[in-house]
Amino acid sequence: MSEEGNKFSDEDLIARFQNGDEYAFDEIVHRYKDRLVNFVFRFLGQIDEAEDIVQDTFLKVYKNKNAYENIARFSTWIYTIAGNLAKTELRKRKRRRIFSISRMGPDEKEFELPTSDKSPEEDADSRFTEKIIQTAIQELPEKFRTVVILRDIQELSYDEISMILEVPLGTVKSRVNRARLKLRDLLKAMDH
Amino acid sequence: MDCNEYRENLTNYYDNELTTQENNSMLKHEAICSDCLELNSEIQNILGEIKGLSKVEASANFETELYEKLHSQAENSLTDKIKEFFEPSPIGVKALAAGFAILMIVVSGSYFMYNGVTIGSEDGMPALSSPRFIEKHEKSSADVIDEEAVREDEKTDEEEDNNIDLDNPSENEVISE
Repeated sequence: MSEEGNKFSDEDLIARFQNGDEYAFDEIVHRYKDRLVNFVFRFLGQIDEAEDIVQDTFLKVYKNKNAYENIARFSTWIYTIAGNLAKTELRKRKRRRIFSISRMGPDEKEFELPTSDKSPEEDADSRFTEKIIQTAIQELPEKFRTVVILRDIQELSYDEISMILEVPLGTVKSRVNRARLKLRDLLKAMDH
Repeated sequence: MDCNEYRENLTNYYDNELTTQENNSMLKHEAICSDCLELNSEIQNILGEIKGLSKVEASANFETELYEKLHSQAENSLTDKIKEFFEPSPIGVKALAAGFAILMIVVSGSYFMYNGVTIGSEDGMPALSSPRFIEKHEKSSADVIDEEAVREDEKTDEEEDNNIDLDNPSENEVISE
């Protein structure tokens, strides 16, 4: 259905899936798996956890397909599910960290970055920059982190972010502004 | 415009959502405030670096794992439904057990009453006191009595027939009347 599926909007696909077309679900997975994995990875910093959460997101979409009503864009619905699952994981992780912090060593791997096709020097540089930025993003308070990822990494519109977070448009804009300023302060403090 | 106003307007500035007048005020402030100019430059660099971050993609076996999970979830859901069917609430279990016990008593009672099998009878023979046994035997005795009565009636009829005067039917009719 992949080539044929491209002519359908997300909303068409979920409607077809609600009417029993399983191939429409496959197309939704194909369309959203990478961007959701990227979104959750930037939020949590762990690729394995990110994949698990995105799989759980699709399981929820599959199981609760009829909960979607065509009053909002499908993208905002699926991002909301993934975002909520990521936040739940983050809270669980914070609780676990309280118990395991004494066992954390200096080499504790906080996040992993994907491999790239760059030269070793370029690769090392970009990996370093990515690690610093990723660390700074993860240092942001949750509400700032979410808007930076949705706006500056996922490049969603303010309207979409407003619907995902269920906050007014003005709040989203002001939050994005404050998040960027905070990110700059964090990076400056890290000598970047 | 002061530094705070400048900072608050930065995002709208990048998104070209300021009025011409506000935009000019931003430009004027940058010209006289090196800190805000530097801040603007740093944030633009950060946004450029964020946009240049590698796009993390799902692994090659992402979909295989997802469909395995979906499959196992569907199986678990079916198993749960079967379990739910056979394992209702504790109150339901008790009610079901009580109902079954009553049904068994009623059914077995009716069966024993009907067949006359006494509980504990090793050979399973009908009990002599059972209603069915009595009924069966009473019925047989009555049958014998009936048969004897029929036979006696037939005998009497034959004798009577033999005594009828065939030569004088009118008399016979009067008698029979």
